[in-house]
Amino acid sequence: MVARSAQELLPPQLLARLERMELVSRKVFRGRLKGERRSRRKGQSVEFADFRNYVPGDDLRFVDWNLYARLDKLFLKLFLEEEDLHVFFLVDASPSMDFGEPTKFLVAKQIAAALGFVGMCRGDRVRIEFLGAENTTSPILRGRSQLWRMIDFLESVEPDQVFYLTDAVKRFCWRHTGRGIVVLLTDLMDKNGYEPALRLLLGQQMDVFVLQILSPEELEPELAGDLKLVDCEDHDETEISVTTAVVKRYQQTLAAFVEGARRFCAQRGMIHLLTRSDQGVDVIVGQYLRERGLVR
Amino acid sequence: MNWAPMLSWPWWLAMASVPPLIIMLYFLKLRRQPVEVPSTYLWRRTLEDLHVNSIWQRLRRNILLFLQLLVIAILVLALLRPGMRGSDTVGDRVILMIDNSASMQAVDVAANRVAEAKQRALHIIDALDTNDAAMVIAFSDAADVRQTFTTDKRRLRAAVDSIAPTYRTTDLTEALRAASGLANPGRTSQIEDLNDIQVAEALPANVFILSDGGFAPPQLDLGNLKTTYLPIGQPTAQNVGIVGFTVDRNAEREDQVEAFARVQNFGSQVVDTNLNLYLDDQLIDARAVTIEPQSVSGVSFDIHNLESGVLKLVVDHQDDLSVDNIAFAGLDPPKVLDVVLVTAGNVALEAALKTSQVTSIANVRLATPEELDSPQFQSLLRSGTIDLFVFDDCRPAVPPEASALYINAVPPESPWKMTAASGPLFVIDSNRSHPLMQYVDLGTVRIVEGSSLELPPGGTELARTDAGVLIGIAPRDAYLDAVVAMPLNRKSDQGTLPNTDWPIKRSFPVFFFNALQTLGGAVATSASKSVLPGRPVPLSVTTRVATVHVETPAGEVVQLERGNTPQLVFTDTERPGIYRVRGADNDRILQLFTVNLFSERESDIVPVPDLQIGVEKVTGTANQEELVRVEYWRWLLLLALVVLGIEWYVYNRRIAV
Repeated sequence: MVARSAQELLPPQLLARLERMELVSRKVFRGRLKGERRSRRKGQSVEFADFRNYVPGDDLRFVDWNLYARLDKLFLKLFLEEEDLHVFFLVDASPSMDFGEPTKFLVAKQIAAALGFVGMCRGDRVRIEFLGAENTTSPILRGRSQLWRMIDFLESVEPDQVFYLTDAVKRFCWRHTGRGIVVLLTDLMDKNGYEPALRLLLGQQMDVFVLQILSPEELEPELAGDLKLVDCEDHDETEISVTTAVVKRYQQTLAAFVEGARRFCAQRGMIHLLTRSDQGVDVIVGQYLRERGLVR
Repeated sequence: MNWAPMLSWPWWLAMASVPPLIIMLYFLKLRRQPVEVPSTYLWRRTLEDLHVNSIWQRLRRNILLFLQLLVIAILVLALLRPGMRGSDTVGDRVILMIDNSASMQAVDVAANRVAEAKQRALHIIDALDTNDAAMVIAFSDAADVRQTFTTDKRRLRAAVDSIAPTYRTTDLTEALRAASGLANPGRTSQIEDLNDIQVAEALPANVFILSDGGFAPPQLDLGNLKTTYLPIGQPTAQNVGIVGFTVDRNAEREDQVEAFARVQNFGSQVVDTNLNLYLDDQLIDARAVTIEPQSVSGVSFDIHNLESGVLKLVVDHQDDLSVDNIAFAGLDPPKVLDVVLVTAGNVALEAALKTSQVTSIANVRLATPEELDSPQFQSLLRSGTIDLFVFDDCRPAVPPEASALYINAVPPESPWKMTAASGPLFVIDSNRSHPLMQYVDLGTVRIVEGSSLELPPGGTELARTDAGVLIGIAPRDAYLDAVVAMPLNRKSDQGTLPNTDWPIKRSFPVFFFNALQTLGGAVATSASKSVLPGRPVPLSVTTRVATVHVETPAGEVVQLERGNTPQLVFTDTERPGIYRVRGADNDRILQLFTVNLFSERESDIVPVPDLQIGVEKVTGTANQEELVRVEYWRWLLLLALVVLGIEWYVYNRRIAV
């Protein structure tokens, strides 16, 4: 059961490719443990950073004796420190994500699993949090060995209750004050708006990636005639006579909505990426996100 | 804009329920198919975008409803048949000719045909533009211009309203001539002459003939007249009419009268009916007749012991025209003539004027030639109270105010001439067709001597001898003078001898009886004159009556003064019936005459479909409404079709994805 679900979440052929990838953060953060990432702190890696004058008390092991021999002055060699990285995956678990074939929620979990695996392989601290009426948070996952834990956790959560994106993000921010990468996997379909939630994440000075996942039903609705549209979250009913003009108008509204989100993110140093739920996770992670620089 | 609704009120009620039905259908909530979507967020925003202008949107949402209601409204409007007064079709100058002859009294249309024609004429007047001029002519056997060209519709309507049906026959010629004269003022008189140019501009006019067409085709060139014939009446009209009713005294039995009637069935069904004959309003005889369609039946009645009276024949049958169901015939009462015989003594003549036949119709007074110059006789000559003077071998100094018969003398102060006597003479010819010479055979008469006459202008030769004209007659003013150019007696040495053997012949008293009848105006009791309604009647009353009263069938008494005219003519003969002529001073009936509508054309009331006027054929226009109305319902239907098309397009656009 687990094996099958694991395969569903992370196809084995994808796993091999993921092992060679790493998450790209445009910011350099201070980690907690020594990891595989460069840190702003000078440390004991092999990578040279700078020279500085020797002051009494410095470790003589880092004195550059070659320079002393040439210039008759004592200089100390500084090296870059390598640290680990906080990577958070915020997965929207609202009922609206439970749509499409495959569902947007499954696609979100697949992406979270794939990217989480990439982070774990690189020694990053990966944490997955499902946004809901009550946020469900995974333990810190680090190292390849945690893969099954991660998959078990992902398997355990299903979309259930209606919530406001802002409230859920707020709860996340209270708990996690540290810096790092945040990947928000959502459809952004919140009737109160997504902007306050993104502003909260921005306030944490995190490197924010917004992966907007939309199903084909939302992108190209195949509706016709006199219909009563029922919102799956709040059961709000909208009576509409769908005509070509209305569909065209809807697509214009959707395009404006996506463009609005993209512009909102771009203006604030966030990355907004639109993903179709019918694309397949290997294509999304292996090509799409790679081309857009989230992984390399 | 006026309306001619095409539906009766139950249909209108049904029609009125259609728009509420459509609206009700729209009020029924559309049963929408529920579809679950991830979020209605974007859909709502889409709708909000679409609902920028909510009023327009509401309108847009109901545009199908509005279009459907519009279609219904247009259809209702079309069913109301809106039309404008089509002055273009009526024309600038309109002549309305309304037939008010007897046949227009037929009641096969509402009220009668004249009322129908008047109503149609009023419609045409309503359809006239403000600047259109019209003229109203009522016509029967004569044209009566009720209103000359005017743009005043009030006067035109009043003129039409004033038209009443008459009992007259129909003749369109005079009416058309009147109209033609107004429409073609500058008609060239010489068609071949190219230099003969019209002096005035021709003014074309539209003529509307509102008639049943019961008249002889007028021979007239219409010229500028554009003629429209509006037939009045139903083609199914039924009528039985008396087309002839004559009364004649039996030649052999004086007291027996034969009445003969011709009754024609103008309808399309066999008619069984009774003919009732009344004498002075008392039913005296009746006959049952069966008349085949379009055929005539003759009926005769024998009436005994009748000297005078009024006969009335009634067809006891209800049909569309009642005027011709009654016919009248009168038997004139015998007249008593005042005759003066001036003679020096003539036994034969006196005997001839003393026969029982003569005494039944005349009082004969005797006078001698010596009295001719006496003042009493002079005043008698001028009094006009004498019907006939007979001058035997003498003559007065001035002609009498009466007819006169001269024997061997010529009238004084006249162009009559008589040659010297010669003889013996033989009668070689006599004019037997003249009333004076009826039953008078002069072939065997021998004459010792006589003269020859030279007649004045207008004179008629009645008998001729080998010497020349023996007897002649000539009019003098209102009177007649007859001359016999031979003496009856001849004076000789042996005393008075007969000059001819005529007095012993049978023709002699006959001649003088004829003279009394013809010259004295005494017509034996027989059928009185019958005329068509509206025709003048010359009254043959004796000249001594200066004033006569004519009693019409309506009971009115019309007084006629002789004045200077010797002949009295009565013209007020509009109404069919019996007319009694009486002297002013006494109640004695001097003369009877009847007015009857004996006209097959008038009795044949089935309207003629087409008119033939000159060489032109005018086809009857059945529906005048269409003629003077510009209809819009076709355009409305077209509009409804267009709106329906738009509705269909909108509906399809809405449904298609």
